[in-house]
Amino acid sequence: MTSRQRIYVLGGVLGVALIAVVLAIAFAGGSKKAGPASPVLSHESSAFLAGVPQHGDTLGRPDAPATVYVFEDPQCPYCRDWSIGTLPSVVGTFVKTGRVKLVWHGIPIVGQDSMPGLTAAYGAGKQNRLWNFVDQLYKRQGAENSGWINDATLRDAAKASGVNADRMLADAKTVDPRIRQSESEANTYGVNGTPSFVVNGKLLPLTSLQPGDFNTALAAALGQ
Amino acid sequence: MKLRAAIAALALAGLGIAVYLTVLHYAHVAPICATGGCETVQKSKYAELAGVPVALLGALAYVALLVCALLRGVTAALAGAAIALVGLAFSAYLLWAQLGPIGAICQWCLGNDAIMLALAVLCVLRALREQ
Repeated sequence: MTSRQRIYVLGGVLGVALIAVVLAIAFAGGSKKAGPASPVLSHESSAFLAGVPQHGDTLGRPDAPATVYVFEDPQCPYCRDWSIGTLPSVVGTFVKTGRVKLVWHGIPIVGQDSMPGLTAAYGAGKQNRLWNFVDQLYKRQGAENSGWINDATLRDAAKASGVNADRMLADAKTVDPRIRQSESEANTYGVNGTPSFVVNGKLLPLTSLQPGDFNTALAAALGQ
Repeated sequence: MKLRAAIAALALAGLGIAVYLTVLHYAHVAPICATGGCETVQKSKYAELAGVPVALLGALAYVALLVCALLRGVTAALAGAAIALVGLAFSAYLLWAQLGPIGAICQWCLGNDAIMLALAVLCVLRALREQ
């Protein structure tokens, strides 16, 4: 095949591919901006946490035989999906029964906009309401790095979770070392995305975050 | 030979990114992201084509490019160039989707775009020179 023939063949391939792209763009309708990743939820109370002991960043009985580290970023849509869709089932099955305690590890994966949410969460932890606050924050989640984690959102989530917002925001200024510690532990355990879970010191392998699959994987990791 | 080696190396790099994104797609886990928009892109409708993750399609394309790089001959060179050109056009479409409808940028996608552009140039050069 001569060079000229090869140019014709490749030119034809490129032409067809470009026509396909142009048609795809034309049929996709390029003016629509993507909205929030998931539908906005009503800000119902975090009823699944009622009666579960909390101390700082820990949810569950302090003497629970197993510890699960939960690595999350308040801006992460998958964390929101897990927290709202699966966490209540985990709490009901493993935490309320005293089998497991959960320790929240907030890390800034999505971007610097995550930091005010992370510090506020640990600030709420000083009032032993971190898990309620994080749940409420997820129920207000907006698009990544769009500025949705602002003073008004933090105060609104604090109010809905029974947290004193002024105290929380004051305490939030003192918790940077806790976030550094979470980041260090994320590196230690090989966490490379959120949400991630470390069960008794080992990264939990997951194929799905759906309640049934997640609880099965967690039970297997616990040897139960 | 140098051209084929460079194509193989780039295809391996692209394969690494594509496999990483495919695994995270099925695990529903967010990738490490310096640009801040990876999850938005990953959860958008553009992340799948007819139910198949585009990252998986990318992985298959990189495997095909790797095979073409390992084989000698005009047919392999032309096939590699054709795959790379189609890949480049598809990458351009996904870049448009990020800049337009999705409104978020994913660093892994940009890395893939750069690799696919380089592959397209090298594969076309090879296809014109191969004896």
